[in-house]
Amino acid sequence: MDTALCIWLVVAIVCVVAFVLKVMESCGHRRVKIRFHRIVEIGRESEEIFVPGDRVVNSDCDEDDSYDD
Amino acid sequence: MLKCFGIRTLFKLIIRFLIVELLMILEFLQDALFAAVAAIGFAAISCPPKQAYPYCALIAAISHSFRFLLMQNDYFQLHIVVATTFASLLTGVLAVILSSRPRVPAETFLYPSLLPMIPGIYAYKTFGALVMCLYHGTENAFGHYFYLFTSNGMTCFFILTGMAIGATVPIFLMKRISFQATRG
Amino acid sequence: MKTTATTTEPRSRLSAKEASLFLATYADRLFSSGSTVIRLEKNVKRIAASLGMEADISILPHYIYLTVRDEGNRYSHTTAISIRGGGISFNINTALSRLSWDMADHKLDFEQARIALTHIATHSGALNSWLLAVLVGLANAAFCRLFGGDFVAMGIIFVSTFAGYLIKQLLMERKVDYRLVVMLCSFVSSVLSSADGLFHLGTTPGQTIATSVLYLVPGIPFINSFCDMIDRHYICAFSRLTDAIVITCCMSAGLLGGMLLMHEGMF
Repeated sequence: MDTALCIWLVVAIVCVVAFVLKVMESCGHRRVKIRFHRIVEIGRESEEIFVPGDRVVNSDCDEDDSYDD
Repeated sequence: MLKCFGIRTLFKLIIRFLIVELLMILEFLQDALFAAVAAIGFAAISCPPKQAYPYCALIAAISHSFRFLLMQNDYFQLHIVVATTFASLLTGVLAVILSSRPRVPAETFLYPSLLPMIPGIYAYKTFGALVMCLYHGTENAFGHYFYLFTSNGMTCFFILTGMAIGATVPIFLMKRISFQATRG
Repeated sequence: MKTTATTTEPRSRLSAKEASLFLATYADRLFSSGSTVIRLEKNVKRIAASLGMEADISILPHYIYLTVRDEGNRYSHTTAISIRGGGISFNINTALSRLSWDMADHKLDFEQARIALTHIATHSGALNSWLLAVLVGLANAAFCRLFGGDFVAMGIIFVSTFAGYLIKQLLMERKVDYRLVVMLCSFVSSVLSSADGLFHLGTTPGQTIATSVLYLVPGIPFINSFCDMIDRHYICAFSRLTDAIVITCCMSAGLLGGMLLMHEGMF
């Protein structure tokens, strides 16, 4: 089957599903929750790049700064 | 006999002229109608007061068909940038004058009426051409798409500038009417 | 909202602080509803004058800074409010402009104005979502005709715009980032509208795809940015212009993606 036709059919099916969701919501049903585990989320800089000396957030050992000589 | 032939030829010429003009008038009215429909639909997205819809449709129909006339008539054809500027000027004047009737700001009529003239196609062709520049590595192809990028981009920019200037000048010139329209 | 009171004053009459907080909320609502900066400035100064005060306002991309001074410059108050954002609503714009004139003409006192402001902010006057989707579909179909599409193209555009707008509404209700929403909706609309060429339905497949995404073009931010530029509010103008350009980029990306996958050429 042609790729373009397959893609068109997939998108058309998604639109039909969206239409049905919208009709269900309009008929007074509670908002349909689509649960996704967050696959992509923006993390804090400290979680991605740790430089020795960074203060760890929510750490158990919340020591005072050891910057003073 | 010669007289009859002359009259018949003249008659045919007149009929042909009328048909051409009638087609032009029909196209003009069609342009006005669809511009009105487009203005109402796009106005609905920005939630105007309900009494504003007929005014948006009327102003959009007049200004868009005016632009069509400036660009497509048989005597002179203005560039889209110049034609859009004049059409926006007309839109601004009509919006300011009509806004005091239902007591709404002039922008309520102005922006939906300008929306059919927004150069959306030029805008996305600009970015499409930019992507194509990167996609095609050869000099000729790059040159071609770069020309499309700058040509569409400049046209889009100057149309928007002309629209903004044309639409805003009446608001500044008729300050008292435009800023007191909502006064009860 | 962060406030910085610079001077203290007796509590016998309307304070600069109360006026400043009210005007900051007013300015935020008016700016978020799509007003130009010049209208915002005029309305704020008019309300301040009606309260016997003077106001100066500074608008940044995410914040509004408002300083209110009373008569004689004895007391002043500065408020910084973050711009809430939200959809454009000329209904709110109109109501807030009328409120400023009602206050200027002393038809409303301060307490009544405060109640009116709260009421206005919660009534955007949006149409029923189904009706809105139909109207937008019709508008885009009319657009298609204006750009030379035939009646088959108009029908296809109506359906693809209706579907795209429904998806936009669903995603906006779920607080998805607007840039992603625009990209997805333009992709969906462009793919659906390619049915004209795919199934050989009409005679103008090029116009069909080209006009399928025009309902997503941020026309009002573009015009507002140029209007603000003419009035020399360059920071606000460039911030609005950047927003509009980013949205247009996202729309183009979705459209290009759809056209590439459906093997349609843009040029």
